[in-house]
Amino acid sequence: MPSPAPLGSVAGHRIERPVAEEPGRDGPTAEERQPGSGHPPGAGSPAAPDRGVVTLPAPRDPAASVVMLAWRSPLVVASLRAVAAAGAGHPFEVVVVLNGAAPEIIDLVTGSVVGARIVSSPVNLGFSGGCYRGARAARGGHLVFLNDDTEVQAGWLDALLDTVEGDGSIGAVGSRLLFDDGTIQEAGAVLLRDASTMTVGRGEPDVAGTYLERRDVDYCSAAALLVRRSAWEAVGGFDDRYFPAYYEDVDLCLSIREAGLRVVYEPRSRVVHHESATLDSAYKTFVHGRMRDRFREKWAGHLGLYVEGDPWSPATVERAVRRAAGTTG
Amino acid sequence: MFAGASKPGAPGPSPGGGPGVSGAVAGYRATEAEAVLAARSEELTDRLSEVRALQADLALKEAWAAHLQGELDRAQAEIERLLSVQARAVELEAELRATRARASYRLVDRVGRWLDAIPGAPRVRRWASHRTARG
Repeated sequence: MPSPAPLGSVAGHRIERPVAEEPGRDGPTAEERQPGSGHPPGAGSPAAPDRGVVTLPAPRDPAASVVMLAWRSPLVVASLRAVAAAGAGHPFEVVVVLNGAAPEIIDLVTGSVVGARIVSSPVNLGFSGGCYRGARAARGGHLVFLNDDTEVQAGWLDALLDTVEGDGSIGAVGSRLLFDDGTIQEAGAVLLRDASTMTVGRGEPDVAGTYLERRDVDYCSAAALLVRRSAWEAVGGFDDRYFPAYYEDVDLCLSIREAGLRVVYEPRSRVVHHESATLDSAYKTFVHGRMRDRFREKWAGHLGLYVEGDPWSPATVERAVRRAAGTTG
Repeated sequence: MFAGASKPGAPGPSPGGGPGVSGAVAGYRATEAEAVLAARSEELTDRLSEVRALQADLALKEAWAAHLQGELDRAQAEIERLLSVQARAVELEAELRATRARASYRLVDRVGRWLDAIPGAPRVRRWASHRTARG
């Protein structure tokens, strides 16, 4: 949650192009900077020790801006490292938003990351507000929101960019999200009439033939979501009433669809999402319910268009998937 | 941070580009003023968004506190209910013990009286309290 305490030299002000103390040499690792605070390493662990400075591209005219919020998770550096390692054929920049970040996270990011544009807020603006601030600093023609607990796979960004640039009717594109164990976390998502949401393909094996077709969806998680800048500006970005998080991505994608653009799931863009548990489950459930109520209130006149039924019923979800894809009335 | 913004006494372009101030200079100053205003506006927008976020966070925390208070009240009520049930259980257990004791006394007493009626039968100690009271 927001940390109203002053954060020293970066409080409230943008930090442009932070450079590690000694670029070109290995910087401090996450463990060195946060003794005892690292996650235990293990198979598929997102907390494999970070080694060295992360150098990200800083092109003059980026096609896309990857926007990542940093708050309390030291995984942010590993996530950025994966972005750097995956690269892309299109020029892209990375914008890191220190969103009411803990002092040790500020140190970690500013000391370990080179090439990213870093903006800062002394308070946690929530996911929506943080993304808005990052988007304002971004120069790319497309905005790519990426969680700080992800591990992008090779080709992830080009797949998103090729999709959106190949079809002017597309306003947003979401990645295929995977769990640590390789199973599918999300292959697009659907909205039901009662405002509940269901991710498609969750828990299924990530094998050929499983959700490998690009298709229209109700929404994609903002854990890895490209939004065409013109679409972003047309709908006003994420709605900050969804503070601190949840449902802002559903809301944005519905707004984009309302604006006459499509939201699609792109299976070639693969991203492991570690789903770090930064909030305890009771509080998470409470916040989720509150945001759902807000969403339901905002879209009350619209939800009647969506499929009704038990959200845990495969048949309901199947109908919702077909409705979103436009293969049924 | 904002050059020129903190110079309230600085001379600006006089209306109509007054004496000694060329049009180019006036234009430059106007542009600079616009840039300062834009930067100031952006900064204020940032501060406003931060205040709004803090307000939203406070509201959320209040709601969470109210939610927890509700849970606490429900838990308290449940504890009180369970305590009353437990007290009643203790009462009933005491009643049960007393009833069992009375039944035992009556049984022993009755068997004793039967045995009294049988010549040569062994005598049974009668220690039932109500019999003792009657001698």
